[in-house]
Amino acid sequence: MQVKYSASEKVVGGKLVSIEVSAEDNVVSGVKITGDFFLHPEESISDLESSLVGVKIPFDWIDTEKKLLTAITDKRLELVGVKSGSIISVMQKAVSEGPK
Amino acid sequence: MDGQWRVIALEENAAAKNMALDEAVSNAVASKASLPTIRFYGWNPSAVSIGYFQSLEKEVRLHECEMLGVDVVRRRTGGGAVYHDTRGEITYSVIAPAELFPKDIIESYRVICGWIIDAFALLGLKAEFKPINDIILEGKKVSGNAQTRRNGILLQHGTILYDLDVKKMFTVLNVGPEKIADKFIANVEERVTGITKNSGVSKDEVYQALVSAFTKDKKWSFGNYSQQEIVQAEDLAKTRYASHDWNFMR
Repeated sequence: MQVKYSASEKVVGGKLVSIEVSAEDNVVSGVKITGDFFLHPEESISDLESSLVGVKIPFDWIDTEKKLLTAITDKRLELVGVKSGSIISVMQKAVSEGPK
Repeated sequence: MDGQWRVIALEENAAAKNMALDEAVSNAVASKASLPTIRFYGWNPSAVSIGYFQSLEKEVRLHECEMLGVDVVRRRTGGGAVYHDTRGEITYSVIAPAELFPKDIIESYRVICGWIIDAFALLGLKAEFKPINDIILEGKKVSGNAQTRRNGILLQHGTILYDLDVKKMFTVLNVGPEKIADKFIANVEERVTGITKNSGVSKDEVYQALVSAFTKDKKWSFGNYSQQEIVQAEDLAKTRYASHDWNFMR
């Protein structure tokens, strides 16, 4: 059964990060990250989102952030106004608040 | 900043055309068909632009925009939603090889925002850069800026608020109807300002100051778009920036 989680947070630096997570059988099947942050190049937001697909819930913080950081390094992405840890933190918040 | 620059004088366009011109000029500068370019422009009709990563449905009150004839467009830069009032602001774009600016993104914001701050100084106003991408005047936001880099080209565009209509701004931006209350507007007025709140200068004087400050120490002349840029911009306006797929992408 597919469930959806979502949360928003103003992160350090004042930018808003909203995350919607879809999961099936406690495995993340889709992630959408929206907000007023910056990422160069912009279209690689899909690389960030897909790096989080397959993560098990409840998720291991270090392991999940590592997946995000690998995508950032491999694709030479630059996040501005938000740190990878903040994305994981909002994702954590979404999951901890339970399905919506 | 040794090379020649082209300055496109203040013009007004619909939202999709404005964003399409930024992209067409970026492509032309990347292929060296056009000189590094500074554009000054307004939005007619008034419009809301949203950042690349924002959700149009979450950020914009689409029904109110339609009722008021306000355009909506997704930018190809990140950042937040902006209400561009036809009378109330001036927008600029700087489109140039990235190598002319610091590699560090915030430092490059600081350089171009510095030109805006210099323009304010010419008007007798003391503005300050507030990283990442804002300029403040008397402690309140007076300019928001957004940047992207691709194909070796830096594009930074931003708005300079001249005459602020907070009520209209929050009629078209989605902050929830309960927040259009006087208390909320008073709160926004604590954080956002326009030049008219601080000075009696005309919008034309603001524009002239911007031209002077942006072109200081540069070789430059006023110019027009090339035929190639116009044709590409018309195509991009239709196929991308006015399209449902692009604007509702997230």
